[in-house]
Amino acid sequence: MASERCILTLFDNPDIRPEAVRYACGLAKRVNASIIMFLVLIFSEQSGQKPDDIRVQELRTLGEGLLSPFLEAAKREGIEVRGEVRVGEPASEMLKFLAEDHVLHSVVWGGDNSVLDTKRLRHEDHWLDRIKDKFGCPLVSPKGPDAQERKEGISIEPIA
Amino acid sequence: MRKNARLLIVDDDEVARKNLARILKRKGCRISSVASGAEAVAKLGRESFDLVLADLILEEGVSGLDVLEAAKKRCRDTEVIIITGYASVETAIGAMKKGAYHYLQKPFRAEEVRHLAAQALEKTRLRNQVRELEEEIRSGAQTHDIIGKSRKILSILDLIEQVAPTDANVIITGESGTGKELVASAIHRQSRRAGKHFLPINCASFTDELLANELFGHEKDAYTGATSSRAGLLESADGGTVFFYEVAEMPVPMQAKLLRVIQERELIRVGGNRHIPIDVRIIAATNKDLKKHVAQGLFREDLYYRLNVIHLHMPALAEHKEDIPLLASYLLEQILKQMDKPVKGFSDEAMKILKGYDYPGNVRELENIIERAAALCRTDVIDTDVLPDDLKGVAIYRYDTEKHGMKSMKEIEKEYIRWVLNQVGHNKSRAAKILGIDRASLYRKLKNYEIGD
Repeated sequence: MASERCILTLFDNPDIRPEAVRYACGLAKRVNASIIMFLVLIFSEQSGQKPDDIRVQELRTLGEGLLSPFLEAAKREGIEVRGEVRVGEPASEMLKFLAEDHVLHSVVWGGDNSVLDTKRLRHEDHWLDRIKDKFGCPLVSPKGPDAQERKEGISIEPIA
Repeated sequence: MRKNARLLIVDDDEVARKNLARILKRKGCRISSVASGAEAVAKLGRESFDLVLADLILEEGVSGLDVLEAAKKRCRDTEVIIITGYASVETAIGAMKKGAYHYLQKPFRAEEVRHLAAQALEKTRLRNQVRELEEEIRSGAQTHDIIGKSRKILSILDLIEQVAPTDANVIITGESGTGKELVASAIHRQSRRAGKHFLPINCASFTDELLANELFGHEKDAYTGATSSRAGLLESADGGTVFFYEVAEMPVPMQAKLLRVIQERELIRVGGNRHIPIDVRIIAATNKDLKKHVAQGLFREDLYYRLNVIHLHMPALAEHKEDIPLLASYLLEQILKQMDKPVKGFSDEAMKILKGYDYPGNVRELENIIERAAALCRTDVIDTDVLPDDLKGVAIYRYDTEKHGMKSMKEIEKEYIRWVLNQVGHNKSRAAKILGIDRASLYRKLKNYEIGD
C-alpha cells in the first residue's frame, strides 16, 4: 500500500535554502500533503575515494543536524514531515528513493537555484536535469533573495 | 480609476461643477455636467451612467435625493455620490440608506474626490464582472463542474460529451488536483447510468485483502468473523459507474480480479464460488505513467489495455492559465456559500498574481488559496495582502513532466548513440563513422550524456 501523497523537498548541498522550505510548507498546507526533506551529501566514487562506514555515518549525522531546525519549523506549522539523509552520488541515491513506494505530489528543489534556470546552460550538467523526468510530478524551484538569510542563519517565518 | 467610465455631475454651482470635472477628467472618464436636478433626471432617462455625483441641495425643486432615485430607477448598478455642505451631513447619511454609495462633504479635496470615485467605479466593475462570470458558469455547468473556456478545457468537454453515452472504459491521467474525479463524474452524469451510483474508490488506501473484501463482498464463513454474507461495493454499484483513482497503486492480485469483472462481467465474492453478474462502467485515473508501470511489471498489461479504451488527459492549470479568472470567481462563489462574508471579487492586482503563479497543486491549490483569502479578507474585494507571500515575487521554474511520450532532440540523440554503440559492439571508430561525426565529437557526446561502456 502506498503512503499518502507527499512533497519532496530536495537538497544536494549543506547550504539549504530557507525559501525552498518555506515554499514547501506553504504548498503542503494548500494541498494537504506531507513533506519529505531529502538531503543528499555528495560523495563521488569517481574521485577514487570510497567512503568508509564511519565517514558515511559522520556525514549522515551532519546532514541530520542541518535538516533538524527545518524539520522542527515545519512540525510547528502542523505539517507531517520527516527527513532523509543520503550519502553518495545524488542521481543514483534519488533513483533508489524513487524506486521505493512514494506517491509524490511535487518536488521542490532547495539546492542551488541557478540549476533550474532555463536561461543558463549550466543546468544541463547537473544531476537533477538528468533525472527530472523520473519524478512524474511537477518540479518547482522557488527563487528568492536568500543570500542574506543564509548569512544570518536559519529562520523560518510562520506560513499562514 | 476605470477608463471610459461614464460620469454625470449635477451641481447648480458652476465653480464646483467645473472643479469636479477637472479633477475627474484627468482619470480619463467621460464626463457630462448639468446644473439642475430636472436636467439630470431628463439625462438619466436617455443615457446610462456608471457614476453620478449630485449635490444634495439643488435649486428648482428637484433635489439630489430625487436624482439618486432616478439614477437607481434607470439602472440599479449606477453608483451615486451625494455632495453636501456641513449642515446637511445627516441628510446625506440618510441618502446612503436609500442606496447612495457615499457622500462628499464640501469643501472637498481633489484626492478625496478621486479616491471615492475610483472606489465606486471599482464596485461597479466587480459587480459587472461577477454577473458576467455567473452567466458564463450558468451556461456551462448543467452537467459538469469543469470550469473553463480555454481550448484545452473545451476539447476535454467535447471528448466527455462524445465518450459519455458509450460504455467504453476510460483512463484519465493528469497531475494531482487537475480535476480527474470531476471528469469521471461528468462522464457518469452524461451517460445512461446517470440515475445509478457513481462510486469513487481510492486504490491507494486499501491493502489487497481489504480492497478485495470491500469491492467483492464475502460469503458467510469466508473468514473468521464473517458471520453473514455481504455484497461488496461493486455489487451495490450495479448499473452505475465505478471510478478507481490512483489506479497505479492497485495491488497486482486485485488487478486480476478486476480484469475478470471487465472481461466476464461477473464477480465471485470472497470465500464463495457463485458467479454474480455485474454491469458497471469502469473509469480509472492516475497521475503516474501507467505504461511505465506495465513495463516494470507493476501493472497488468491486459488490464491496462482493457482500461485504456479512451484516454483523457487533464492539463495542468499552468497550461490553461486563461481560465484562472473564471475558475477563481467560480471557486470564490462556492466558498462564499459556506462563509458569511460580503466579498464580491478580486482586485486587478490580486488577479494578476493569481494568473502569474504556476500551481504545482493545480486547481486544488487555487481553491485553497482563494478559501484562505476569502477568510482573511476584511473588505469586499480580495486584494494582494491576503494572498500567500510565496505567490508574490517568487519565480517558480516548472518542468513539464507530462510530455505525452514525446522526446527532446537530445534524448533521441542519446538513445540513438547508445543504440549504434550496441550495434557495433562499442567500437567507437565504427560508431563515429555511422553517426557521421569524428571520434573526438563522439567522445565528447559520450561524456556529456554519461554513456559508458
